[in-house]
Amino acid sequence: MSSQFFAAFSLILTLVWMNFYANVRENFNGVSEYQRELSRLKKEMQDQRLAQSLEREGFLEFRQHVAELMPSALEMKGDGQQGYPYRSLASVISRKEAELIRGTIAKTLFEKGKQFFRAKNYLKSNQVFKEIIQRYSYSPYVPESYFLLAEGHFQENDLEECVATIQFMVEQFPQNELTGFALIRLGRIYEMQSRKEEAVDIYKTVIRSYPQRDVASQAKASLRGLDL
Amino acid sequence: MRHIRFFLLVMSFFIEVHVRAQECVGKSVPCAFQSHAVRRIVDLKGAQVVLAPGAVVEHRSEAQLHILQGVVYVHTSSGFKFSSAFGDANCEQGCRAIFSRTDNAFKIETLRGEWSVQRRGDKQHYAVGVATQVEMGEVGLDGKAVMGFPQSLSWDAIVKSWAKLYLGKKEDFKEDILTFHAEWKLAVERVAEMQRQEAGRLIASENHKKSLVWEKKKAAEREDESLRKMFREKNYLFP
Repeated sequence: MSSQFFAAFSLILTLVWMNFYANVRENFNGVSEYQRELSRLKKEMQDQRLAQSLEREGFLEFRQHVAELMPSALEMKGDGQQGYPYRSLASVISRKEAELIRGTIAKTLFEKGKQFFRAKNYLKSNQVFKEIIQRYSYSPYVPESYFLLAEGHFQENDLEECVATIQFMVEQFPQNELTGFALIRLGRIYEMQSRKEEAVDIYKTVIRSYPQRDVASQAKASLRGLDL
Repeated sequence: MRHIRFFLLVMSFFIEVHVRAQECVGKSVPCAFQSHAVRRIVDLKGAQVVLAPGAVVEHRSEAQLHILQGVVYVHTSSGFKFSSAFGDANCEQGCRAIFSRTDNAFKIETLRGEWSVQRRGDKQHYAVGVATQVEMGEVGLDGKAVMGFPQSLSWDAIVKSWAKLYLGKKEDFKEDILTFHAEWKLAVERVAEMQRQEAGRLIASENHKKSLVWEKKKAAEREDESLRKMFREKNYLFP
């Protein structure tokens, strides 16, 4: 009985000693402090993440609320110069919508440029076409804008700019039918500058490279005119 | 007795006391809470909620829970509203659903009962039946949140995500799945029919749009042709 009691007592004493040793070691080597600090920081980070999520959600809800009110606000106050802040706000609410709006603006500008061109106001039409090329370079109206810009420069007798624009068209849109027409214009400029051989080369190049009926027939007609 | 007392004294060395931080869940509103590495079960008055790891929600009023982030499984016992920045979902009682929230979408996958869904900016309520899902997105230029057409749930995906968040025993889950399977089959048929009708409507409207575009294109071509003609005449390209 006493030996059993002694064995149990020894076992318990060993465990107590081991626990005491572990506690003392942990307290004096600083690991527990680091662990406490780590768990405190983790908790702090989680709280911050939660606060951040709430803030972000608050902002998103506000943005959605503004977007919800936007159609009626645009209808009431979106026109003219005074409506600019509203239209500006509407354009940043959603990226997709903003892209659509950019496309529409490019189209409207292009129509405006064509109107100036038809009215023979080449100075203004050139400005508009330049704006389309610079600000809406991914819109489908860019090749046509280049073409009409080259033509505008020609009408303004700015032959240097006209040639530069045509050269740019050749580099950027070599397959486009309008580039063929622009090249015929280049041939015409060479003719005016008495550079007939170069003009013939241009017309022949157009006949070879642009199978489109209109372009080729015009190039042929110009070539015939040169022979005469 | 003395031995026991001594033993207890020794054992007290080994007892670790965990003090949980006091949280507002179920005590006050509004109260925001989240789950971390493991799922978290929360009992609210009228609904039992399971937050998948990483989910963030806000208990805004006694019967409203706002979902900010992640996946949440809900089981309602009385009228409860689950909201998001893009729209809300309501259910009267005994409904189950899995809600998924990302930065720009809110998805509702219904597992039991009929949910009444309302997108932001639209006064109309849409009924979303069992075994179907609907997704909502950001508010567009028309002032209404984008909302997808209801679709039937993908069987494998929904069973997996339900199993992860299910509250209860395995046997109960099996039973629920069997009931759900029958409802899911009917939902697939129902949604397929709706999709067929919608596709017909879309094709008709697309054909109408195409004809309008064709007319516009023709008008633009005519205008371009006149411009070219003017260009030729001005520059004497034609004799």
